[in-house]
Amino acid sequence: MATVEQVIADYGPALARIAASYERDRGLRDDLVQDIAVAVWRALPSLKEEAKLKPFVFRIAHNRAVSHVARQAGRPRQDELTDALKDADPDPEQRLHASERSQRLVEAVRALPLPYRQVITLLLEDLSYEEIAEALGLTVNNVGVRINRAKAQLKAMLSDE
Amino acid sequence: MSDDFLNDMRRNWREQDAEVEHIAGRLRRGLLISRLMLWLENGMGAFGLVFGAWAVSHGAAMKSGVVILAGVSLAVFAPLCAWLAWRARRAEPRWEDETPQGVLAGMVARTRTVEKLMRYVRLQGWMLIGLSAALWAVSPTGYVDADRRLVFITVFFVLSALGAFAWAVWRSRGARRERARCERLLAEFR
Repeated sequence: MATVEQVIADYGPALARIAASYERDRGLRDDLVQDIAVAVWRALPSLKEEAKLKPFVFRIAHNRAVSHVARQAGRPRQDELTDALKDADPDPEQRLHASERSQRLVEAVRALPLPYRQVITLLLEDLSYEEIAEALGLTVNNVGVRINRAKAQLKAMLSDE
Repeated sequence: MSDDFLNDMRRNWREQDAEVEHIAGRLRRGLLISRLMLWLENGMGAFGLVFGAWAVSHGAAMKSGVVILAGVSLAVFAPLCAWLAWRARRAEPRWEDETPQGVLAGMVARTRTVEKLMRYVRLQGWMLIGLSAALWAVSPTGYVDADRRLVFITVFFVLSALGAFAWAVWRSRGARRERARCERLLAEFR
């Protein structure tokens, strides 16, 4: 039986990245990750097949995040990129380039329509098409279609910049 | 579309890890607090029941009505609060069984319920105002004395009604905004 500590150790950073694709504000994002962790903790006893833990966790993460977006979209946000760049760093130049590339991608992912954003974040987290279908309640074919469209939109957005 | 594009995206996606490296520690602390709160909730409920029962028996021995009443209140309300908190948690969506569209559809339904409830709140506000007007209207007949008590009660009613109106307007606007956002997000799925 999986424990929430195991989930946090294995998927904590992935959950934070998923949350980042929904929420720009760092404080609200931390709250969202925390809400996701609590939701996973409460839901874990209902997990029947341990092999499906990964899609189970990401399904909860996306559902909780969708609810967050619907509630928080009207609230003011802070741009945290400047905060990230202000952070102490041993190699600021290298960190800056890596951060810029990463930031551009995250912003592009955030700009995607929700159905495409969900599939692409799961693909970037190394989930298979079957696992993505399981997590989002879609057919594998539908996942393939959405991923192709999401990739095309991302390519267009990232090459424009 | 080449795999290079996807691999490149995956690399950049993981670059965020510099910002999320402390996430596991924060999550563990947050969960500890959630567990502590749950334990406190249940503990206080059980403590209220036991201590309340003890106070009732002690009050009976002392023949003190106040102690008995306090004991009964504690024995009833502490477990009731714990039960209400448990009910509130159960009312949350089952995130593991939902789809994103299901979550949004559920939120739309909830905002409609909130708006309906707010209509009832406004109606109750008007009832309080109507009751105040009726009390003043019948006061010349002698059924109700037009004294300080009547002033106090009707002012209290009117202020309560105004407060309820303000809250209902604020809550209804919030529910409408939330529903609009949910419907916009639902439209993205079509």
